[in-house]
Amino acid sequence: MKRAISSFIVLPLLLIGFGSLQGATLLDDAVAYWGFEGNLDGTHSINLADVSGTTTGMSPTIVPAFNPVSGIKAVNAGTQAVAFDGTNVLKSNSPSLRIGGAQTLWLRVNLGSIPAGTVAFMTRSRPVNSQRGISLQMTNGRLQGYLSADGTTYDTQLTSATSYALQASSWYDISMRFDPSNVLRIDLYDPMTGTLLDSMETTTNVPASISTSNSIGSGYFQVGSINNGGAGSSYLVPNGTLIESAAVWNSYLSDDQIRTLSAVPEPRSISMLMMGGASLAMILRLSRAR
Amino acid sequence: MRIPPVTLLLVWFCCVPFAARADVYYVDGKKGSDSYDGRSPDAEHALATIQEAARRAGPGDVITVAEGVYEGPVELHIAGEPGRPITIQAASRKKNAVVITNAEPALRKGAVPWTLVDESLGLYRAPMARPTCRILYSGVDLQPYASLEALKAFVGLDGNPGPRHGYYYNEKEQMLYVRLHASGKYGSPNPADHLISAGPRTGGGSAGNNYDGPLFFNLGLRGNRPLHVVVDGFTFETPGYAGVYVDGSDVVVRNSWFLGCRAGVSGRRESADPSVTSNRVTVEFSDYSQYPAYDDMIELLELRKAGRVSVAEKKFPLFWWSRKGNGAGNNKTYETGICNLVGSDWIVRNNDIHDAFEGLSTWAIRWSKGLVVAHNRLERLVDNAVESEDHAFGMKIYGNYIFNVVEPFSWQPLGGEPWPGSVYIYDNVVQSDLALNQLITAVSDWTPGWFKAGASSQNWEAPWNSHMKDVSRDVVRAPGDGVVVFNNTVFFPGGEFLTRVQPPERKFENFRFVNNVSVAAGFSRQEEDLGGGIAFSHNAWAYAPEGGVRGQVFAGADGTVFSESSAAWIAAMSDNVEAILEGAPWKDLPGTGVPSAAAAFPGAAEIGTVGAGLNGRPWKMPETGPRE
Repeated sequence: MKRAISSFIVLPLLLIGFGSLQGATLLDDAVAYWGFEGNLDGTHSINLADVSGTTTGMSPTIVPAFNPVSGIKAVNAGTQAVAFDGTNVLKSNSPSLRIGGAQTLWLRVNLGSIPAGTVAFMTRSRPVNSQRGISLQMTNGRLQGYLSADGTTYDTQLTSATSYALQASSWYDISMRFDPSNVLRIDLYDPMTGTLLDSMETTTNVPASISTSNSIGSGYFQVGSINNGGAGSSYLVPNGTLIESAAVWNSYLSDDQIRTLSAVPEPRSISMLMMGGASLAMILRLSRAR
Repeated sequence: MRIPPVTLLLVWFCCVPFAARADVYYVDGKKGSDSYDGRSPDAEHALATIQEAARRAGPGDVITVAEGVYEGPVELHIAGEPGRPITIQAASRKKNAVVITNAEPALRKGAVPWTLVDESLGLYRAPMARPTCRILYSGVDLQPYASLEALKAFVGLDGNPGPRHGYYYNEKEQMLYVRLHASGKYGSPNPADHLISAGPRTGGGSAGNNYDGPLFFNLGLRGNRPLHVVVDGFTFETPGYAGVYVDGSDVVVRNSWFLGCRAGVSGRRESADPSVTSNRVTVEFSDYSQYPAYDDMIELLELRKAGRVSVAEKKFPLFWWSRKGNGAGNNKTYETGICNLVGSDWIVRNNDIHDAFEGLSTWAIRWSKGLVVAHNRLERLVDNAVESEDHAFGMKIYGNYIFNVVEPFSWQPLGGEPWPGSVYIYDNVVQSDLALNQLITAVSDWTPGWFKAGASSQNWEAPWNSHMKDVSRDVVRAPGDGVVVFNNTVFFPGGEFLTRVQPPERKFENFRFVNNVSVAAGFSRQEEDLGGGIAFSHNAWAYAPEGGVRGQVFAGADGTVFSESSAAWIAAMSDNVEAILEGAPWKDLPGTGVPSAAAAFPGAAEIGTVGAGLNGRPWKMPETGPRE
């Protein structure tokens, strides 16, 4: 009987935790995950630095600002987000982030405004002539993705004139996945509801790999801009932007995994908990009756 | 002789490992869990998602999906084998029993409050985060308008009137505005009283019909390779474009319902190169509709007749074409159909295709090869049943029943050479109401024809046709066997035979009309038109209403023009079509062989009869639509 009672209690609790456990495992598998809980530390000791994006060489470092965050319903939601003022960006020169093959970029962002023109969310490497290896960016409010195998041309351009137009002051989960020689894909989720807002992909001219050389430009991995070498960065995210978390994987995450990152706990779990509680009460009452 | 049990056991052990095993995986979105084994439909075993079942299924396996609503897009990377397809089937084939939907979830669940903006207009609004291309209220299609003012006035981009219900999405405000039909004929005018299905944005390209990401589909069969998958019995609802997206080849979609789908089934892309298209796809026993697209057209015609709507001055006479893109832009056009981006050797058969703008439009079949359109019912369509433009090759259209379609067949390329052909149209029955053709004629100064044909100047002058600059404009020659139209029976009272869309000096070449029956008011609207190069022979013609003079042109060599009164013909045409055919006055007319159609119909060279029902075989109304 004791074992039976335990099962009734534990099972619903396990079911509630399952979604977040799945997410946690996924985050553990990332090359780097940044929660921005009052610091810029990443998993596997890959930390970001907050720097001036407008100065040559992207220095000096500056003291990052963190804002409290509440109300995001998706699992894995934290309590703080790193803040951007329109001049700062986050960077890392870790070789682990110079990934040539399959990869996934992901972030949870809230934009201070939707400026005309382009802002960059996550990018790596500045090959030549203002090109870059991989860039997840937004132009006039619509997401875009670019890949360059050698830094001289964009092999892959993922854009859509009819895609979802992002709004200011709303939370979004954005992912971009690269499957070599196959597909470049962007998914946009609402972490308040878990709803897939948009999904776009291209299979045209997807390269077999992206250059991992850091002799092309600075080689910096950046959150919030693209590096423009000696002239600093371009496409900085606007003042008032918050990024609650970000991550990079060296694999093409599955659709389910992307969905899991934005999943909102199902009411079903709560009903099962209640069911579990009711069952416990019934069993206890039966035990007493005996 | 009694076989010892041991022998039987040995035989069983030897045979079982080599027998093709078919496992069944059960999915139940309400009761199942993806941690279960999926081997039974009960709540202790069923899986929760189609995706998980697909991950476990192999060639020959069956996935059975319980009744319920499944949120799409459902993206699957599966493949069976020749003779051992993977079957994904609904537990019930009834409409709305097993639904895969891309509708905005909160709105569909009624969790978003509606605000009455203007009581006098019946204008409501609700916040909606993402753009949309199709909206249904309790299954009724709402046409998009380009602005809030346009929705308030029900006016399209060209200044012509649009349907008396519609929506506008303000992307900046992320706000959806709707006006439901005030008459109550589609239910309450309050959206809160309806199930609202608002699909996501549409696809890429000028017509929005190019695949550009998974929101394009409800169910996506991914992988550009032979897939060997059967999809059976689902209701597909408001995808970005297609209910089913076939990235590869060798797929069958059957017994399915397409609601708010811009197209039912889409291939991966269009191309003259069959190695990059989706090939060998069959769409059968399904139901495709854009209801009430046809009723909206009739309403506009009636309103115009009563003088209650005005039309734009000096514009295209077909003012009721709001859904073609005049309502809110070309990338939301309803000029789509049951299929999209058809490759080689598709079969579209035994479907109900109704209450839509088109049955199969140019966007579906522009570069199709060997498409078969057979034994379907195509009813109440605003434009054409089947278009063969721009470059269709080897298309066969036969055995269909076509009812109240404004202009049933179209050969109207806009992409220059290669012209469409060979195109074979035979053994179809077309029936339109006199009242429909008279209503259109009365309000538009334009009369439909049952065959629309011609290559307009755009084929030489449009910017995308630079390859045509040295091609003669004098003659348009259909390639291959040409356009071969034979043994069809067409009741088209009040309408014309030909809608000619090329200038009279441009000749048709390699067009043949043989053994057909045409009951219509006249030959064409252009009084001087005698077919311009089309070869006619052994056809039968009757005037309805009487008064035309060029029936003999259509009848052609050894043809017949009936002298019966038009009143008798019109009365007969309101009867059961099979009964009409059974006692048809042309039954004993001599037909002739059509050797140019031998590639499509093996007995073509020996045909000896006129009208549908080849060589005395009674024409049968096709069995169509999902079978429970």
